Amino acid sequence: MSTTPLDLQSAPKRRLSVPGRHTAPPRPLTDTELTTLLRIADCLIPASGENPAASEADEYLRYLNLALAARADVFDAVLSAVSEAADLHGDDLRAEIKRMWAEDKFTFDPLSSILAGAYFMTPQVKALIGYPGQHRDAAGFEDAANELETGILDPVLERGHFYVSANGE
Amino acid sequence: MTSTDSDVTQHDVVDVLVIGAGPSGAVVTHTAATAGLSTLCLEQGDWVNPSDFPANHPEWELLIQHDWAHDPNVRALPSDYPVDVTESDMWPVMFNAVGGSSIFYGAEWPRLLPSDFRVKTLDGVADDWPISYDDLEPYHDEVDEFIGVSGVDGDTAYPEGLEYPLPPHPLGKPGMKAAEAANKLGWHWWPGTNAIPSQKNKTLEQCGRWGVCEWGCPQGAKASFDLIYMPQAQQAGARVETGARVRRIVTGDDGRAAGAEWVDRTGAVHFQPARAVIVCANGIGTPRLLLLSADEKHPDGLANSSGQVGRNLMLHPNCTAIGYYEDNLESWRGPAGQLIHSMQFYDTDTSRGFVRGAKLHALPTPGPLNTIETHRQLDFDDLWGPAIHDVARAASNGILWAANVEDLPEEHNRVTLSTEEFDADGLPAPKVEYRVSENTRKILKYTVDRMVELHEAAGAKQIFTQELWVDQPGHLLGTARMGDDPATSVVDSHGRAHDVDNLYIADGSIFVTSGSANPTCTISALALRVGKKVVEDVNARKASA
Repeated sequence: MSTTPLDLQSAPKRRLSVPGRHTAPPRPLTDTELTTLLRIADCLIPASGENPAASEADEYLRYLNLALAARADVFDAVLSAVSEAADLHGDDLRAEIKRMWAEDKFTFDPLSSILAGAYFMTPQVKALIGYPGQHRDAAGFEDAANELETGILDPVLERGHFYVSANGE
Repeated sequence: MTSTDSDVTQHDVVDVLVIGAGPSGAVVTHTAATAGLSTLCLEQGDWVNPSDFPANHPEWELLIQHDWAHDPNVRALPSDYPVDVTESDMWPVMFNAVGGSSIFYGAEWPRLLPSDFRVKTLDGVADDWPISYDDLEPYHDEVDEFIGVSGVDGDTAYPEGLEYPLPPHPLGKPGMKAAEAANKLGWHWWPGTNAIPSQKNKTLEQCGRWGVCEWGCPQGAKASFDLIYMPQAQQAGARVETGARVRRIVTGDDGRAAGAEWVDRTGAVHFQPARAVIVCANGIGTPRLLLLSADEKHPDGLANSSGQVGRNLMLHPNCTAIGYYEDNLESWRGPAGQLIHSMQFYDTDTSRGFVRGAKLHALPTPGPLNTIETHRQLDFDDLWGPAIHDVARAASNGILWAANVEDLPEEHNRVTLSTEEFDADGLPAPKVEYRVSENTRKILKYTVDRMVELHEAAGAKQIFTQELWVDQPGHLLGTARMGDDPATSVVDSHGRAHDVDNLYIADGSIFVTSGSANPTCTISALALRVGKKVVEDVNARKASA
């Protein structure tokens, strides 16, 4: 039996509590896969008014790669769905996507999350929908005080304390 | 020593061995170290940096769906162990790292109310705690001062004198609208009390209102206990050993805890002797470890002569009502964190048809993809196709009303050892057997109706409700309950095991009832109380040795 300082016994350093971040999907998509995936994306997110279709959003492919990488856990299922839709266009494609929505949410939900998630990451769409992204935006020193000075808390204060006393508190 | 052999690395004895580096572990480690005791904290995970968190990246809303999911069975990181939920209505969540589940918590920081400690006396159900609101108050005050809790003094839901060290966060547009609705209905509300510093405090940054508190603060501006308490514990001389998965607590011939066996990430086994062992592994991990520590003298698990280890699991079922409004509420902005909370329905009102109640809180709704996920219950054409563009814009217009409902202790809701699932070290996974009670379901339904009422009073144009969030509960309580009677409880009111006088438990396991207040506030105050008792006991034993 040995008595060894802990620092000499430490295991090789690994990120035990932090997943690795990947910025590319497990493998590049083939041209056929990408073309089909973009058709599905445009079916779910078509152009409407000022809003571009998914495949037409600036830098959509860049963010689609990030999205596929972020959900690498469902990459095979997504590509399986893409493969099944490879020969479908127009109304046939829409019918197949709607069937998947109704009957196979375990494929449809992550597939649609990836396609929509990529769309909402593009700076163009963020600007269009008024989403600045999560970012530092510290409060002004008097913001909270200014809100309370409106008297919004007064009705609560006027009703007074109402807790149930259990021990003479 | 009964458990070591030539394949086990023996370490020098420490005064205090803390198992688990979450909120309770950090508080106990700090308390022991600052008292001058040699203190080691073993943690199966490792450190997480603010720069690691998903919101640092544009794809954050996708990362939180799997790689950074709250559910360890989904995330399945090397630090995680599986949780067998095959016989549970809900899937408990946790995070295994220095900081524990406070890495992911919203830092909502309400204390229990006086009535929570006297449920048996007041409502004739469950049990009273062996301590009262007044007993815990000074420990709350000390913890709040240390971490810098932000809030408005004088919450009328509590006894007079409740004060916070830092000023509150702004309510923001969602909070103001939620408060106006509560005023219209004549209900209690109060500016959110959060363990999120509104001004820089010790090792915590000032809140930057990133809005992603529950997925890790990218700014280090939340009282995640790897960022507060544990750094100060290390400065006081405590050591934190990461990648250290404890597989059993070892007892000696005298029946006292001798220390703990743990496995490092190479698979090597270590034995760490200690004068006192404090288990802080959460309401799932703690009973699991006590059951794993069964031996010839403790065939039903350590500290389990009462048979209560693992029983009375309470999970604080959550329900939600998300409302979307015409106005742009800039609901991507934090903290989240609670903007306001309401204790209007906290205590028993028998006219409602159930006992106890719920704590409600209003939060923002950051992220367009998260908003898409909220809308999935719509018909295909109401979400996909041209409709998606309007749905995405609603993300800035949302208010999330959510509630914890009180979950009363029931012996059949419990943690045992799975015979089907094992962790990477071959240790049995915890098995959770949990059924939502009829009383709890009544509270959930009643509370959802009230939250819908709040949205309607505020003029919401669309409301989505969820009566039970099955994959949310991170409030893991009650599985090693405290009490004065060793026949019906596992630990005494200071967290000391009735059966093993130098073994302590300081996490949510020792709750007698759950209340409906977010529990980390109470866990931390209890841990401080336990920690001070540990210091007192260890010093007394060393003096008499």
